[in-house]
Amino acid sequence: MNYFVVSALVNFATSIMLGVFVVFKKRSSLNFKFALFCVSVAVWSAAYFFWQSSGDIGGAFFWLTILSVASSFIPVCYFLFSLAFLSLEVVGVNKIIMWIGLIIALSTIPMSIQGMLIAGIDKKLFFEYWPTAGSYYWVTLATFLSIVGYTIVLFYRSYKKEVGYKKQQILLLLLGTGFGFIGGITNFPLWYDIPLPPYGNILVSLYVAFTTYAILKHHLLDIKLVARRYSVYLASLATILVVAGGLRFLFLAIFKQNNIFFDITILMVSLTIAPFLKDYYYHFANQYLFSSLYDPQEIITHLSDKLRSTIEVKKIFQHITATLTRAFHAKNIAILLFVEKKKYYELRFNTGFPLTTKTMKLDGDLHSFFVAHDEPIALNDLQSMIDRSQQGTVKILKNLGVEFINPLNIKDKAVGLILMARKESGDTYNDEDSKVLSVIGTQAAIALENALLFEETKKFTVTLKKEVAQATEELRDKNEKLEKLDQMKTEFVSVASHQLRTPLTATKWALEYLRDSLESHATTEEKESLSELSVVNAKLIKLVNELLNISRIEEGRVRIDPKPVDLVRMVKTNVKEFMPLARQQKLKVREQYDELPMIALDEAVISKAVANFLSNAIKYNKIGGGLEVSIQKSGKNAVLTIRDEGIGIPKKEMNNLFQKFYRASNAVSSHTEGTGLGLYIAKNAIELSGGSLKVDSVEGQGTTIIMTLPLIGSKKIEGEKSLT
Amino acid sequence: MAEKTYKIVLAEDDHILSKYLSSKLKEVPGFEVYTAMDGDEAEQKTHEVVPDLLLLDVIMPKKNGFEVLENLKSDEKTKNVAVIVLSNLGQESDVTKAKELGAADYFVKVDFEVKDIVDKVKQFLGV
Repeated sequence: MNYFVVSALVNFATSIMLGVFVVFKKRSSLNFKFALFCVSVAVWSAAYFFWQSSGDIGGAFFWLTILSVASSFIPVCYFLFSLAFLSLEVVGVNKIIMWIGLIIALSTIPMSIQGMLIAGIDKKLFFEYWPTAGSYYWVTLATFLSIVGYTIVLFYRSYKKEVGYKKQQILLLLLGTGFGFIGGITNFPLWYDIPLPPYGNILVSLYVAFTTYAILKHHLLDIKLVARRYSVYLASLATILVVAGGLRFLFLAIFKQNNIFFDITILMVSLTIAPFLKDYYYHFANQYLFSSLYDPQEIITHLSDKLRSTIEVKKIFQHITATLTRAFHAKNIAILLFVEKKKYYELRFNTGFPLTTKTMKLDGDLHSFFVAHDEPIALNDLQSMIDRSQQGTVKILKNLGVEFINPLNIKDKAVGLILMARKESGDTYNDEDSKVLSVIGTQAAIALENALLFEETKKFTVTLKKEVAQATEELRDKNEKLEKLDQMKTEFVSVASHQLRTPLTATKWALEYLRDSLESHATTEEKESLSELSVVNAKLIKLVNELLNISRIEEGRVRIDPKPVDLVRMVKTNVKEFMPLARQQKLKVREQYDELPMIALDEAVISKAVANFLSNAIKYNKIGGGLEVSIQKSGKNAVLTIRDEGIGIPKKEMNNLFQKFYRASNAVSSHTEGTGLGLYIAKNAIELSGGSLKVDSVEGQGTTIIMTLPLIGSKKIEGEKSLT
Repeated sequence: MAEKTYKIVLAEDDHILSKYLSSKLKEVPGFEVYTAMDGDEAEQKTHEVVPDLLLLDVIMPKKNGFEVLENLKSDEKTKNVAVIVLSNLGQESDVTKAKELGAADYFVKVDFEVKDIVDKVKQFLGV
């Protein structure tokens, strides 16, 4: 199997596979036309294969006929595909050319039968069976060359007009045409006995491959980029080889012998300078040979430095767009940030897109697509990757002139999008651009996320300060109101007590006057009535005083002013004052007092409490009952115990004893008068003095009051007034 | 020897209280008692009479006792008049205020009978 057989096989395989593949990938009119072209090439290639493999002249002639006929259809199919690719209509000149091509192609069938296509078959060069052109062959050849030539002109015109990826596609097709048809044309010379073997035959498959790549891929390998890279490497290698070779030649010329150490030295030096040479040629190429090219590393490092230097969102936007403009010279750039709460993208920076709204909501799951995809993507690629429900957004972006989208994500969280219009140079965004944008996207996403968090924290701090100031102001207002309220309450208590006391005082003084003036001539009943009135009035005065005390207790305005007090003397004095009442009840009074030191107490407060206990012990005692009053020193405390043999307190009412206005049910039935405030006031007074109060009682047998006071005395309490 | 006369101004707006107290005071030999029914009258009477003692209520119409006290103490003519406050306001702050303004003493009326107050006046004047 020789090269030409293999080349035919490769052409056949490439055309059939790629033709089927393209149609399989997408059933469109364009792809069907390409497939038709591939079929024509495949038939020609198959015939070529069988012709080259033929063992006899008859077989060779047969396959050569098929080959010739098939090859005449190739330019027409090529033309039709090209028109469809360039979106040109088959009208006017194009229509005429199509028909001419078709007619010529069809005419080759009868012409081949007539023997006007192939005049004969001879051994030429190393080919056993090579045809000689018949009289009609030149017609097919001229048609072939004319149609292909005209198509190339159409391609060239479109290339000049088009921008972006379309331009890139046309360039690829032109290159493919160049390779393919030039390669294919190498078959023709030998038909006219020009001794040029068809070594270019295999290049036909290149045209098919180039075209397939161009129509299926939307962002393409940048030919310029490849050329730049390889030219830089080649130049570096060539320089090293020339210099190293020159040095070695000089060494040999001088020393007339090889030296392994010298060779190793040259090698080491070459390896050392190679990177520097590459960089030098790279910059040289950028400066003098290629425009709109950039150093990816430099761009990424530059942006990284800039993003590190700021935490302000606005500055970050500026750095990102400046970098992208510098690298890609994109016509317009926009940055959108994703608002999680509202599920839309907010336009935060725009250099020129005609966007009329500040927000953008994406169709369907397009947002999820960007989060999942997380790589820069050309809009055309996006269009083919998403379903119909999401095409609305794509259409809008296309109308705006967006060509490339760079999602900004941090893991699974969307930060935003960078939209880029086409490059000023008209070049498409290639694979290297995509890689650089991917890195930039990651850097930008992190920088923006941090800046947004910082912004939020700042706003939160400002809001917090405002709210704290507001809350402080409100608290101040409330405090002022509370103070006013407190003052009003105090004034109310003061005024209310005054208003109650004044008529009570008048009654008291009036009764005093009546007692004095009627003393000598009032009847016993009149004197009794006056006495009763005085008692009633005194009770009313007492009630007002107790209400005042309660008010002071509840508002914490009771003053405790401790001074050294002889507790035993104080209790004895109180007992003495109640002795007339005790005698009335015929009570057996027993007293027992331990010796105690002086105790710091507010005498008025404690005395009042003791008086209350003694009053109850006498009032609720049985006639002839016992009354025990004792003071003991118990550890660090002085314990006053007052025990009576009276009505006692029902067990179920013990818990309520110290509540305001509470009187035990048996107390109410035995003595209807009484305010129910005495024990409440007494308990509070003792507790304010640092002491405690306990009551033990058995109904029908008696009650024991146990008042405990610390020997170290009471603490001073600053207050409005002592208890009345 | 002529009995010493003590001039006493009683400033009390409640006519019942004023009646009882003034009549009891008048029973003491040598006591000349003048009554006033409001703050303005109290100030005016004190200025006229320049008494040995002013018995001063606090809650009165036109001017309260504290205002009267302050004015009297800032007047050259009346600054040395002794003042005892008689009031049913019993708050510690009232007592403190009265004493700061120059009152010699403070009694809560409801706590005393008339004769008790008269005894206190006699004791104060050294009678």
